[in-house]
Amino acid sequence: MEIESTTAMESYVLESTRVSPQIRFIPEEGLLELRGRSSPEHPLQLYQPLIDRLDEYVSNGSQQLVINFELDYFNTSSSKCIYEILKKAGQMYEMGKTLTINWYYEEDDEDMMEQGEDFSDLLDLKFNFREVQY
Amino acid sequence: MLPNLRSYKNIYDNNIILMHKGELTFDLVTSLIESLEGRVNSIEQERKVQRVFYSVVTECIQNLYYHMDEVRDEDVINTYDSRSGLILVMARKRFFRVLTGNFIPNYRIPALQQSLDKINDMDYDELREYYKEILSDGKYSEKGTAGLGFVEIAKKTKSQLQYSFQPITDEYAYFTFQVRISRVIKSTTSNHKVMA
Repeated sequence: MEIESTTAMESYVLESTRVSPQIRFIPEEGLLELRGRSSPEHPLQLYQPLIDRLDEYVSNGSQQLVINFELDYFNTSSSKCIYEILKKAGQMYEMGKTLTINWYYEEDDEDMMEQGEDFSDLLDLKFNFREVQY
Repeated sequence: MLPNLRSYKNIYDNNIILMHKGELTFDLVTSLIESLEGRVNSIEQERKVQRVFYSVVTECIQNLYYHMDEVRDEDVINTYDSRSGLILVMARKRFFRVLTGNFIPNYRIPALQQSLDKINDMDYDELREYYKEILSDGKYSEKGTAGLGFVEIAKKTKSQLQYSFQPITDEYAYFTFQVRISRVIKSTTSNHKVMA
């Protein structure tokens, strides 16, 4: 018996480690969350599986995506991966779908806020900046 | 006894909070960074400074780690030294100092020096633009790194990157890299309140 023509994508969840953030990608809810710190030895190895799944999600014709960036810190090699994630997500916006990007930063952490502004500027995407208390 | 006593006194007067010379594994790098974070957070109350310190120290030490394997000539420099990295972190009243040292092949010097000089010639806004340029170029080094480390360090410390290349042999030199992280918070340009 045919239930659906396309199989639903599975969730992709990784718990945080000393050098990597918690990653939660829940296609069913149209939700992607990164929380914690990111300074792994091989950032591409960590993020490529996520970028691939995001690619699949975008090409599947998904209608909406909410991304919550709640990173306290990320190193420079992670920043290139974050750029790739945002670039991929940006395709949804180009396709006329709903994309929401929430960029959280600690109160007074202007560097983290600026990082968000730079990504937003580079990719021409709207970010919601959300200051949180330490 | 006197030389020992003197070096002991130096260590305390200069407030050396970490000294490491030897091989580096990624796990050790992570442990050193965690340990430094703990120590600095206990002597420095200002969150802004803590954050800049953590970020700069992570970039400096990870950078050192990624470039440890470039010296292979074991006849010229002994195996232990050729693979060993130096990390020195000091806490002064008005700034922290982070120093790293490692051997590098001479052929890498011109490009590295050019890159450091280019960064040192830029003001904050130029660094921010340069960072964005590299971020979006889609390139990774063969080690999977972004090539943004020095730019980030200059941007975060808002100060010059100090360096020297000391000739060792026809093939190798010793590269010393040093930055200061100010503990004095300058008034910010934005509306954010200045923490007490």
